[in-house]
Amino acid sequence: MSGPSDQQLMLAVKAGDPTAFEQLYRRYRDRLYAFLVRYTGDAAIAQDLFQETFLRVFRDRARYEPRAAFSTWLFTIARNLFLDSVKKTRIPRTFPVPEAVSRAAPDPSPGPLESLEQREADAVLRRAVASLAEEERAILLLSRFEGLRYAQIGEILGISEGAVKVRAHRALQILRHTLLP
Amino acid sequence: MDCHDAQSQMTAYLSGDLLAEDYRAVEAHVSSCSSCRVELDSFHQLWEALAAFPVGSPDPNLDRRILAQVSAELLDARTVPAAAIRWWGIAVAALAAAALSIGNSVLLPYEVAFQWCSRTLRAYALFADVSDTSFFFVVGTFYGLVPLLVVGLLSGWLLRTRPLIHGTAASLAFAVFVLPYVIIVCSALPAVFTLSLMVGIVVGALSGGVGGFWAGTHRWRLAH
Repeated sequence: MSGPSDQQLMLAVKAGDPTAFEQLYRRYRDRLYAFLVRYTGDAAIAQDLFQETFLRVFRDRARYEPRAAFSTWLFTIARNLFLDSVKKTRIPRTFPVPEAVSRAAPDPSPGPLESLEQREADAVLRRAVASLAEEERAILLLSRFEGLRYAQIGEILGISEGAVKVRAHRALQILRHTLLP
Repeated sequence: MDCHDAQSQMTAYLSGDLLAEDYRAVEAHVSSCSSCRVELDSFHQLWEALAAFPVGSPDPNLDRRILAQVSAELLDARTVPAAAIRWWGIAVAALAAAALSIGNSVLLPYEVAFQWCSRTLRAYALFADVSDTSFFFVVGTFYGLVPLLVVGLLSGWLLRTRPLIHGTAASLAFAVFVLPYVIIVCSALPAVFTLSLMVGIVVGALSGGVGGFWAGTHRWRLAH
């Protein structure tokens, strides 16, 4: 990675440098938003949490310890805010399990039908991920999309690396059962 | 490595979270075990399918809102530490307010203010039967409220934080400076009038102090 590390930028934020915060924001903007959309299954909730997460990062800057990776800290804050909002607003932690989708051969017809099929496939995938238990969903997304190590994910969730491994495996088994019957 | 071990390692295998030797052990097992090969292929297919998960982009206005909010809070934090209580500010505000109050009482002595207040208000039926003691309270409130309100507005603007604490402390310090003066200049008055005047001064000072500091601080926040 070129330029200052996340830790260096966060220390500069602690020292009161607004440009350092903006650099961190630009660096993690798309990743955090994508994680939140996948994790919550709702773009509007994701936008709210996205804003709250970055503001919380800034407001809690004095608590940041450079021992931990910035990404671990960021995703921990995002998850805790989601869990808080679940408690306050009764957002469901999981969603109804979708119908299993058979992997039929793709329809060769072009145009709107393809587009419709794609949207349906997207929706099925989204619902399948949303149907996982909250912890399993977080583990799967942090591992698959954020490339975080099980040890880091364990720090975020407050569980052991071994427990992360077991739940990651279970999450994939559930998804396979839902999507690849 | 047996089938159970291999299958428990498959997710870590896909996410690249295995040691090199464990990675090689999984590879060796699946190359010789067709059921685990099928298991790993299906997990791999799923792993790749997840990449198609649509996410979109955040509202572009969010960038502006978040960065503007952070800049504003940083400016605020840099100008005045949020937790700071400015004792020197409280002392200066209390002294300035006491000087204003005592200056007012020299230009317009308490007894003169009382007579004017009593005469003017008693012209109205509502106040016709109000006691003299109450009018001394009203006069005291005026001598406490006005100086603290004026000084509090300016000080709140300068200190920009903790208006409740600053206002209360400045008002109480003001009372410490002013009340001995009141006792001395009102020595010829009945004690009940002096007491009523003093209570009025304290009540007015607290109201003016907290209100003035709050309005000054709030005005600064609105301007920035």
